[in-house]
This record gives sequence, C-alpha cells and structure tokens, in this order.
Amino acid sequence: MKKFKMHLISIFIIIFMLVFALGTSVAPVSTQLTVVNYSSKDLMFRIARQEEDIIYIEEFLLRKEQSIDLKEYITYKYWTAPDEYLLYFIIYNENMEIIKEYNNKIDSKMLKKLFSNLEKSGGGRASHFTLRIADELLE
Amino acid sequence: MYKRNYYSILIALLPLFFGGLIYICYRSENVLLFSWMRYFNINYTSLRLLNPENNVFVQFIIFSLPNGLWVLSGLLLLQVLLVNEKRLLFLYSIIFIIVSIVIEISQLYSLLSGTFDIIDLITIVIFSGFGLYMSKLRRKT
Repeated sequence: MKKFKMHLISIFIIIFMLVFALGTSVAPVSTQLTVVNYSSKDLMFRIARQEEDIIYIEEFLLRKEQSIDLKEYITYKYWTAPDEYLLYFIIYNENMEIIKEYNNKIDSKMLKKLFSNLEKSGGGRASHFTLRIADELLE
Repeated sequence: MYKRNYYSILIALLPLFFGGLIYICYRSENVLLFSWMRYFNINYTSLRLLNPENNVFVQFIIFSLPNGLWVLSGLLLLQVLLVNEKRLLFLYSIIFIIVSIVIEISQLYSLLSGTFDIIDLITIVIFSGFGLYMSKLRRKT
C-alpha cells in the first residue's frame, strides 16, 4: 500500500512538472492577445526589446484613416497569421471616441475585453494595448 | 520531520520559481504561462520592463537555463518525497529525465511546439546530472 502511494506521488510530481512545461508552450491564438496599460516610458522599454516586431500604427489612428475595415482586417490577419507580427497600438486620450466606436463594432470577445479595459484606463497621458495584426495595415 | 520536509519542498520549488521568473521577465508573451496569468488577472507588466543586453550569456539565461531549472526542480521534488525509497527515486528520476529529453527532441521533429536547441538539451543533461548528484549527496548525509 505504501509502495502504491509512493508511485502515485511520483506520477503526480511528474504530471505537476509537465503542467509547468505546458505553460511554456505557445498558447492558442485566441488567448494570445494582451491588454497592457503602460506609461509611455514603459512602452518604450518593451519596444526596445522587440524592435523588429513592432510597427507603430499610432499615426494611423490619429489620422483616422478609417477607410480600412479594421475589424475585418484584424479578424483575417489575426486568425490566419498570428505569429508573424506584433503591433503595438498606441491610443491617446484624444482617441477615446475611436476606441468606443471599435468596441461596439468588434465581435470578438477578447477584443471587446481589450477595448473595454482600455476605455476604463482612460486617465493619464496615454493608454496602450497590444494586438497581433499585419503590418500591411500601414502600407 | 514534517517541518523539514516542508522547507525541502520549498527549496525544491525554488529553481522552478526562478525559471518561471525568467519566462515572465524575458520570454515572448505568446506562451501559455502568460495566458494563465492574464486569466487569473495577475499583472506581470512591471516584471517585463527589464531590458537585458544581447550577448551569449544572457541568451543562455533566457532561453536555456529555464529548462535546466525545471529539470532540477522536478528531481529535487522527487528526492524530497521519495526520501526513503531509493529504488523508486532512481526509477522516477530516470523517467523524468527521459521525459524532459523527449520533450526537447520532439521539438526537433515539430511534434511539440517550441524550438529545438542543442544548448537546451545539453543544459537539461547537465542539470539532470546535478540533480542526480544531489540525490547521492542527500543519501550520504
């Protein structure tokens, strides 16, 4: 009986460790989006670390080039090529209206949460969030 | 006795903790660990502001060391809980080491997500050896 218990404990430990190993594997696409509310300085640190992956689309939002269907674009690129790009959207307070507008348009539960969190964090110089979409957005 | 075991478990979990910390601070946010933390509303953002230099040593710490620490932690946990079961300890230690090597090698054949790296494999082997040595040491004391 004691031996059996020891076997069980050992197997449990190995499974426990495997769960941690699982945690280091790539997440399903649907859970990869990240809500981040950094100060500008913090964001610069992050950008410095992942420079090659980041494209600013701040200007895109500021210029309100809404001829692109952002919802369609994100859905298409996000689900089909999630690992190719990491873009940092930087939305300033001036753009809260745009955020609200997108929040109403986008169906994805995760994106809704993103926008909603962003709305809530409205104070301060800037609010930021990360999204994976393609760089063609700027082209 | 129980108190001693409790401390031993905490010590055994330390490498796992540091390995996890390396992941949280420096690794890409597209791994499951981050999804879990976001799910539980754990705010890890302040830990990701460190900007390490890009050299071989730092690369090793970020990309390979966590594998070694993970193996070491597993072996230490087995040692704590199978303290009086020499044969079982050896058996499960070997099983655990084989599993960790298989996980790494299966990345080479794209059977599991992740990138195969020979340095990772060497790190796992070295830390496995260290873990087994610790077990030997523990028996002597």
